[in-house]
Amino acid sequence: MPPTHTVHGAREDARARGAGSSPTQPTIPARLATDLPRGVAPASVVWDDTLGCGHSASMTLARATRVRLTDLEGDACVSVCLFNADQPSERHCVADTLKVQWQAYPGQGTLLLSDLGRVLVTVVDDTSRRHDAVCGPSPLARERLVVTAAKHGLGPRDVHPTITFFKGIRIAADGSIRWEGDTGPAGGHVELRTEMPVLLVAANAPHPLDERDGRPCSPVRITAWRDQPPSPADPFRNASPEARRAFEQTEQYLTARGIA
Amino acid sequence: MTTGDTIDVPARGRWAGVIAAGGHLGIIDLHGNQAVDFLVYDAADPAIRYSAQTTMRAQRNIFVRQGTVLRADDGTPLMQVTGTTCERHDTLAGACSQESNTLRYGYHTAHQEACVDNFLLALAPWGLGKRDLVSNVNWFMNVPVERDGTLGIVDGISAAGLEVELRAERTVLVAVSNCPQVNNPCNAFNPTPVRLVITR
Repeated sequence: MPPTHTVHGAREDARARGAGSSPTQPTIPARLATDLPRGVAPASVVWDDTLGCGHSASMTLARATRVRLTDLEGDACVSVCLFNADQPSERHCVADTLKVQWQAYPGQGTLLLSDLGRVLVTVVDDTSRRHDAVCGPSPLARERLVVTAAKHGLGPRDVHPTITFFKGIRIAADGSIRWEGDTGPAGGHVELRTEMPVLLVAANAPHPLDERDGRPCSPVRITAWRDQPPSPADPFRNASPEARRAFEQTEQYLTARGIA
Repeated sequence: MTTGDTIDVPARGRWAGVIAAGGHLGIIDLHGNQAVDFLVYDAADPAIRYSAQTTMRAQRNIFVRQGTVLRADDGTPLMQVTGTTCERHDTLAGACSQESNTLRYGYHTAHQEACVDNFLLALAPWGLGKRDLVSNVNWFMNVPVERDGTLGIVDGISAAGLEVELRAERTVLVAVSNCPQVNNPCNAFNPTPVRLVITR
């Protein structure tokens, strides 16, 4: 007779599974995470998870949280949706992100702007340098974004155009799009600093222009920790007149909202 | 030359309406270099809506040209560009808004008219709102991308009388903002009327 034939047996079987582990699982509580970036105190870690190919996750994050996405094996491909956590009708606007900053290729210093002229997150570090703001999520990535956003009461109409990290494209003068290819540096990372409370939704899935057989992708680690808000002298805040006004408008919102 | 039901959209104006499957929509740049911001939805299910990203990656090119299929997120066609006398159109740079205007041009522009307001007003009677605004097409707008990724709205390549014609691949709801921007060359700093022509 299998042990799960009875309720008591089933309970024992289920509870025994708690000792299991997976290379793609969250660390709960996050402060128990290991292999942290240099200088990050374990007690400051608020989110640690590893997403395999086809996995997605989300977290509501306070202002001044540092989020590192690590391309563990060099073949991650991460689509990200961002919302104002207090008011999710405000969300990342890819078009404004490119147009306001006069730049098609996101990288270190790029502000991911909301559709209300504020900074949701700043890309404060980038060792990958292969990202894509043009092609959007693959069908699998979009499905994962829709499912994961739904857990926050959001619908498919809320899943906005996205930036994809760790897979780059380049645009030629005639407008043609060239995919930069498959693997990046193993261990490459991007770090995002939240500039207001945000809901971050991430999906790891092959890039839509990836035509390799089996369309592989490899795990991404997400590690987030508490950091300080930018100082008035912050280099990203002062990088351009557009950036300065974007930070000023963000701070105006936080002040009026009482969460500065 | 496009003929059919004619709708003149005044400078800074807006319009939304349904184009039946197989019908055509012509957009005529009457006075030249007038950006026309444009969104399209499946009329029966507006959650199926224009995706600039899916459209660009399907044709592996950022420019909207003759033959471009305007696609929904799931890749299915909404409309196709069946004719254009303006060489190419933009779908990277999005719509102007009061909020992005303040970032780009300063706080004194905060209360100027903008395409996002036009879209919200045009789409409200159809039950659509802010969550339905996504990256749009900008007919007649010129946004080149330099080798290092620098991009921007520059002087137009359109001219008086140039037009674009679209065929509806299914019954679609279309929203048009005749761009009121006065701070960049997308309208040659001078918004002017455009004409829509709908044929069945």
